[in-house]
Amino acid sequence: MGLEISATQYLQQIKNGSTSVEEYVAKTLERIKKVEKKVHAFISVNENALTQAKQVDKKLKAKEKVGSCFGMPISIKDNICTKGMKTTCASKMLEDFVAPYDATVVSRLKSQDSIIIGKVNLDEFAMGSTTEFSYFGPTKNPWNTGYVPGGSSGGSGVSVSALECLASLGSDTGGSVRSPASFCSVVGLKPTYGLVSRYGLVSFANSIEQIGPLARTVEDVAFILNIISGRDSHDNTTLDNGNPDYTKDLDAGISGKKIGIISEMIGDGVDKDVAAATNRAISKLQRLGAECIPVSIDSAVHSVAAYYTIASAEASSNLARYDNVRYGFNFDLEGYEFNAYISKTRSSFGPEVTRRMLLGAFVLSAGYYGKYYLKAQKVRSMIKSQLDEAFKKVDLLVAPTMPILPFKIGEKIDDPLTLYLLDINTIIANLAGIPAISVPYELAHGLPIGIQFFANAMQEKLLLQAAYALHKTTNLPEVPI
Amino acid sequence: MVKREEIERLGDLIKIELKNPEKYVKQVEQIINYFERLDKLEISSDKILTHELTLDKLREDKHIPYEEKIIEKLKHTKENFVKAPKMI
Repeated sequence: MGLEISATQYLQQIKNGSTSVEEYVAKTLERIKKVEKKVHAFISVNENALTQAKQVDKKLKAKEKVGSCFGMPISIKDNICTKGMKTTCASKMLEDFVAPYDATVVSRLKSQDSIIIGKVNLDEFAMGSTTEFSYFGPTKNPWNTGYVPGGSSGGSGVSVSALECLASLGSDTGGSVRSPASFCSVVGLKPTYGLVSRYGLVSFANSIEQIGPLARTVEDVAFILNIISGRDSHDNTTLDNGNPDYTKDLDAGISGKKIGIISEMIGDGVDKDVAAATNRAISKLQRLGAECIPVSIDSAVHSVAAYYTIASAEASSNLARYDNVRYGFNFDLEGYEFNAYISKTRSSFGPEVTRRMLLGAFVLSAGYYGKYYLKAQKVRSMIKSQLDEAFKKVDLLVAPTMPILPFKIGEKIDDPLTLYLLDINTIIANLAGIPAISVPYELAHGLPIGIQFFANAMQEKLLLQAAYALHKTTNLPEVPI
Repeated sequence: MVKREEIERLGDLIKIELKNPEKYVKQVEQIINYFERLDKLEISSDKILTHELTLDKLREDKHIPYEEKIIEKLKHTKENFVKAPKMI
């Protein structure tokens, strides 16, 4: 098939002429056609991909300047705006919405001659941890199609894992990049808040979400981060990172580094296979020369309550704009009074989006604000302080990405609280704005397990070096699909 | 205890006609009960995490010409106007 290569290997093959962009993109499209029936990662596929591939080949042949992606096929989560292609957020509300502009991350990828191969599935408006809450139906885990792929960027994780593209962009509000990375056996990075522009990302919870790359290797993720990170005049929360090369010195190793094992994340409630894999990963890190010590972040036990309070509050405000007048599906205006029309059409939101908006309205209601929202903000601040303290003693923190193995589709769909609690290991990074990465480490019963590293804000280089060191020690099988 | 009336009131606030409010009563109650742990927490510090934004990095305040395609996807329009449901 020839698709089982990393993005970095792809670049080598294109540069040395052993394959053409057209050949690779054609094979990718064939692959998508073949596996989509089984996994349903894509909401839409770029019909012009092959033409765009030929254009890159033409530039190469004419020895014109070609961008650093050399026609690399990349999928984009369908809550990130792409000019001329649908951006649905996996919602009926935006079922045929076409953005009039590209998100900054998309325009940066395009300017480097990447090919946006398609838009991938998610939980409606990125609210969910399993990709089951998509208006277009669930995405399935390629390691076992009866199981969930994680979420909300499930389409991103699956498209990379099932060899339907070389990299993907997802968004991570409470673990939405790292969860599918872990469940689908790929690498997924949630960058420091402000490192990557959110211009063109459909807002869900602005103060915590970040766009992040998913790919087959740590090097590939670093490569994509080089392109998408840095200051953007369209997003005033972006930071000036001085545009370092994140792929440089990836093999620096972790000898002499201090790594804190987050005690609250490997104890009760963690599946025994996940705990055993994590312990083996920790031993491996020690053999690589790192010093691993237990660290307590005890406020993390309140992170789920704080996160869902804040995220729901922000969601209920952000989604108020969907009134079916400016955005929306075709529904006749006649016979409805203004508010009745809006309420009627908004009943097309799926159950999870409705639940989050109900919760958001509840916690912001008079009389409850101090009890929940204000307290949640204080917990958030407490988590940040404890992490600041921890990073005075250690360079990195480690924990399993997900407390359990992937589970069956439909198994937890009617139990929202149980689903929320699965985010317990990922949320602190979002609340504190620090970077975190999930690295595929082992399989148990044929299902992937990811190991997560956290670093202090703007320490992506160190984070990627640790992830690279651990990932290099693994030898995982190819996806069985 | 979350009551059906409370869910209906919230449904009005978020402008969503709830076809089956009963379904949400139990789920919202269960989640709010879990959030109770926040109320019970004693936190002496009043510190709240905010993202500091400076005004010195703002982009130029420039008029960007209006493009037809902004409205071409709208479902209900008349000439260059957006048609909305009746207000009064």
